[in-house]
Amino acid sequence: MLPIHLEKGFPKLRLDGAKKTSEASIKYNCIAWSATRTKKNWFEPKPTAAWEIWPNGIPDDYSLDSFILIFEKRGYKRCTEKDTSFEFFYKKVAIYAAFGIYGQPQWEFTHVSDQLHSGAWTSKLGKDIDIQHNTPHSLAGDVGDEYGTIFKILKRRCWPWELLARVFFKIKSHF
Amino acid sequence: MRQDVLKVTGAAMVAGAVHFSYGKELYDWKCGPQYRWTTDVDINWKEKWKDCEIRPSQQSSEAAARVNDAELEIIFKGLAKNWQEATGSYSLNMRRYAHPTYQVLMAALGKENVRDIVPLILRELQERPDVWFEALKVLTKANPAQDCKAFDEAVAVWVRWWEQEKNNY
Repeated sequence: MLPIHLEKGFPKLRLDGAKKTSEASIKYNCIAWSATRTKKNWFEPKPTAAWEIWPNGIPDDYSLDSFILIFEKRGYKRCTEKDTSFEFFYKKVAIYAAFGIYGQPQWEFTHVSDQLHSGAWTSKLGKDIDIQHNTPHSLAGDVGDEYGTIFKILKRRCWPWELLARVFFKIKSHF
Repeated sequence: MRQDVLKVTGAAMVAGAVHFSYGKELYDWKCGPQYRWTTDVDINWKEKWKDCEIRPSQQSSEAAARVNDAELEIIFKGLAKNWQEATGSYSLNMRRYAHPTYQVLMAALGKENVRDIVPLILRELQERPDVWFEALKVLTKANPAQDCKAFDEAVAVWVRWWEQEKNNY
């Protein structure tokens, strides 16, 4: 079950079969979660506290490219198509953006979610909870609190142990 | 998607009331003469808000004298709740700080009333942990928690520090 305020803010989540997977935490955000799976640090380009960090070598200009670069430095490549389907040998992340939200005529980063080995997606919603959802499209939109549009899909080859996990989920899905 | 652009629809008064719209929401906020609207908040994302138009009105401050501490607390709690609900799912603190409600809390409500507002923020921080540290830094022009490694530690340091320093504000 999702909290009511999230069902209101993200009306497509319930239809997408989204479920809560952690308690709310102000200590980490979606970037930290999808890039490093940490629950200890909040990734912020201009950190203002010790628990906020920003990776070395990434511009701290809040530009959309800088957020994409975080994942490119981790081996992800930009896809030309916005193909969010499950590919057995690839792990994917979805970068969300919205246009002009800071009053400037440009696309701005709003969110990132990543695909699990089961094929579902995981997202940390700001300072709120983590959720698991079946498609990244359920967080896109502009009705409530959604994150705008899926701006870019990036993918990288899975590591061997990640492939093993995928085999496990594949077998499990047959039972 | 809420548009993070502050549009002043009415007149922002130096003392009295501030009326502005934010997305579909309309704010009508009254304050006393001591709660002057100022736009000189020194924050590095202010540049993002350069298109905001906040003008002092020519109106007199009829509502000014009617605001007391209890009302200030009600106004603060209302704005804090509004800000938390509106920005809780935002992925970046910069975007949360840039929200008009947070700016009102720092610039208009708190700047001239540090002594009254800081205790309210500290209580809010303990009851519903959130990123109030930037507001505290701007209001008090101090940062006693700059060496803190953890969120909870920073909250405790701020509470202790205020107990020692509040008479200086």
